[in-house]
Order: sequence, then C-alpha cells, then structure tokens
Amino acid sequence: MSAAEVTGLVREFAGRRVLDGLDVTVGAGEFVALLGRSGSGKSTLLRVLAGLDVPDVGSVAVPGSVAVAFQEPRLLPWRSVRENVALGLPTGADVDRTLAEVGLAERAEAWPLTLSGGEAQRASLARALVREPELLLLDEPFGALDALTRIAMHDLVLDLWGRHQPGILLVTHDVDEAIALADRVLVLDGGRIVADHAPGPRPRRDTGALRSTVLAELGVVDDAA
Amino acid sequence: MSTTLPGAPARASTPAVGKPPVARRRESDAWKRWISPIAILVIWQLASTTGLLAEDELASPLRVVQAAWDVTVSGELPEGLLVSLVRVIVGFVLGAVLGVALGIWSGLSRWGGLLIDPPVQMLRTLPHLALVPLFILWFGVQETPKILLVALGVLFPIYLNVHAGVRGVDPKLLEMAQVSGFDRREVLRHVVIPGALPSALTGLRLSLGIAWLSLVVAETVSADSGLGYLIMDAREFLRTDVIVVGLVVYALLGLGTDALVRRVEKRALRWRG
Repeated sequence: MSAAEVTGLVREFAGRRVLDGLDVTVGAGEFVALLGRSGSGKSTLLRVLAGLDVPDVGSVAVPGSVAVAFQEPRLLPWRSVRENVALGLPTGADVDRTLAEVGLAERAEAWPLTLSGGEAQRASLARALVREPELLLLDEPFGALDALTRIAMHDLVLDLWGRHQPGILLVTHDVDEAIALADRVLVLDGGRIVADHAPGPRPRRDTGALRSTVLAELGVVDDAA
Repeated sequence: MSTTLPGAPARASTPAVGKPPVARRRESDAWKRWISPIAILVIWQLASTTGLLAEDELASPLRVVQAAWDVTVSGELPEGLLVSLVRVIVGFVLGAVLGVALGIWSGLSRWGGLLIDPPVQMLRTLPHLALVPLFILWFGVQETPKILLVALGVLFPIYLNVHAGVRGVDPKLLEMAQVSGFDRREVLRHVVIPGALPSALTGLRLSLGIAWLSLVVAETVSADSGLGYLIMDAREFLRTDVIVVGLVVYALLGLGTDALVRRVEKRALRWRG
C-alpha cells in the first residue's frame, strides 16, 4: 500500500480550476517534494490529503494515520509543549521519547510563546511524529526559519524520516531544499504534475544541472547555469 | 446600555521587568501621589471645622470615620452589606452563567448565532437601568427586581465578549485540532475556551462594574434593606456622615472586585509570559 494515491483530482475555487486532473503517488516510506509557484495549488493538494478540504472530482486514498506539520507551528499558546504534543492522542503514546528525539526534552514544560522559531517548529514536528503517521505532510515548515536553523531542521527531518519511515510529502518553494531532501522532486504547474525528478543517491553533489532544469520548469531563468 | 463606566478602571500599566531609571524614579515617587488626596481631606476637614461646610450638607471626614464606627458596631452596616453582597452575587452569577452559555452557543453554532445574536444586539442598545419602572411593576419591590436588574446588566458585556472571543479563535488552531484528532470536547476545552478567555475576562471586568452600578440604582429606587437602604434612610435624617460611609463602602467593594479579577486574569493568562 502506498502512503498516498491521488487520481484525477480536480478542485475549483469560484470557477478557477486550481487542481486539474492531478495524479500523484507517494510510495510507502518515500520522501516526495512538491515544488510549485505561489497559487499553483500545492497547498490545496496538501489540504485535501490532510482531510481539510474535499475534492470536486477524483479519488484520494490515504492511510489511516496522516499527520501534518504546518508552515506556522500552530501550537496552542496556553498549553505546555508536552501537552501540545500529547493532546488529541489516544493514550499510551510515548510523548517524552518523541520530544527527546527532536531535542526538546528540556523544554517539555515550557510555554510555546517562550520557544524560538526553530524550537516551535520542532515541537510541531514532534506533534506530527508522535502519531506514528504512515503519511507525513509538511507544508513549507521551514519557510519562516533563518538559514542556519533551516539547515539544522533539514538534518533533523532526514534523521527522523530514516528512523520512522513515514511516507513524506513536503510542499515547498525552495528548489535547493527539495533537491537536498527528497527521493523524488515533483513540479506542479497549471493544476498538474509537469515534471518528476529523482535526484539520485545521497549525499548529493553536483546538483546544479537538475537545479537549473527545475528552475526552468518553474519559469525562472537561472543565470548561474 | 453602556459598556464603559465613568468609574471603570483603566488598564494598569504593568511594571517594567528590568526597571530602567525612569521606572525606578516613578517607584520612589509613589508616596508623592498621596500628597494631593491628603491635602483635599485636610481642606475638607478645615472647611467643616470652621463652619464653611454645613454639617447637613457634607459631614467632616472625622465625623464620617466616627459614623463608620457607629454603624459597624450597631450592626447596621454589616447587615446591609451582607444583603447587598448577596444581591450582587446572585444577580451576577445568574447573568454570567447565562451570558457565557449564550455566548458560546451563538459563537460556535451557525443557527445559535443566527437566532441569539440579533435580539441580544438589539437589546443591548437599551440602557438596562431604564427598565427599573417595568421591573417594579412586574416583580414588585422585593429581591427579584434588584437581582434581575444586576443579572441583566451583567448579561450583555459577558455575552458580547464571550461571543466575540469564540468567534475570534484562530481558525488555524481549529484546523490543527482537526488534523490532530481532537474530539469535540477536546476542541472546546483546549482550543475554544482558552482562546476566548482573554476576551471573556475583559467582559467579566466590565460586567462587575455594571453589577455594582445596577445594584446602587435598584437599591436607591426602592429598598427596605441593604446598603442603598442605609443611605436612603440616612437621607431622611440628614445624616450626611452615614451617606458618605455608604458611598465609601460602595467604592471599596468595586475596588475589591476589580483586584480580584486582576488576580484571576494574571493566573488564567500566565501563558502570555
């Protein structure tokens, strides 16, 4: 069973077709990055997969356990970090172990407003991971972080992915991030997948050519190439 | 009905943490703020002693203190205070429970909002104190009209602020709760209620001011017991000293409840750091 199977997905908003017969598959344990310009419908796809939106046409098959880490950490400011991770869970989940995995064991009792941007995003990751998802949806979760924190988060995500093996769909507009992290890099344009790249074995060097190709597909001329 | 009172407390400025020089100077200046109030008391006392201020117009501060002692020892003040407190507490609880329930209901449910909000929004423009004549016709001059007047005064600010608070809960947090598998009870308990709390507490503070105001009006218009009765009875005998004692007690009660709300606020919103 794959982690997500989307066939012929159509979604319209006020007559505008945002997703137009989209087909996407995320294999079990596969790390897929989805690139697209603003308004290309990548967030809409993620919301459909998360169950926050319903398709007009098409079929969407996702496993029973789906978790999301949003662009903003979306922590409840009036609950401690531990409660934020634990709330809504059936009993018996190992919250403290997950907090330790993301490096937040010391901050378990802290109020979310006292966390740094990176810490808050790690708490959000812990909240998603503790649910042992078969499909983990990441909606530009590193977009608002500074460059150094972002690199640390990339390493953390790869590490957690290796350990828990969820299928991951990472929505991003950062080409370098997509190429560095994912097994497959998809480009979404006009409501469909227009390109599907496999960057090859890690660690990755000399990805300049692929970078230029993907940028061109996104409508950007890369002078460095 | 008004939601701001002339006597409503201004939001106290929170003292700075690091205490810059200016804050330190303000702190050492604190006692100087007492100069003018004490001067006013002294002038008032002098005016009374010299006969400039007639006893049956306004008693001197010393006479007021004496009267406070007298009515306390005689049991008139404690008795009246108790009666008034019961009225305000029963009325407040009644209005607050109803206001919170209606506010949450109309905030959460579409039909609740469509059915409840319009009449409440229309009624709130009516000054509730103007209902006193009707209330006396309907409920007589006993406890019921006084309690209901307090309850009605409390209902509106609580309802409006709870409703706004519930409607203002961050939809992103509600989505997060949905994908995190919260059930309805958990959404209410961990997202909606804490999210609406800051606004609800503002309503609480406003409503307490209005509760006291409503009580004063109700007791002044008609009463045979309570603080208002103490004051009106004193008027009959030109006892301005007792009247001032009643006024001071009203003020202290308002001050006390305000301090109480501030403590509740501090505890309930401690996550703000």
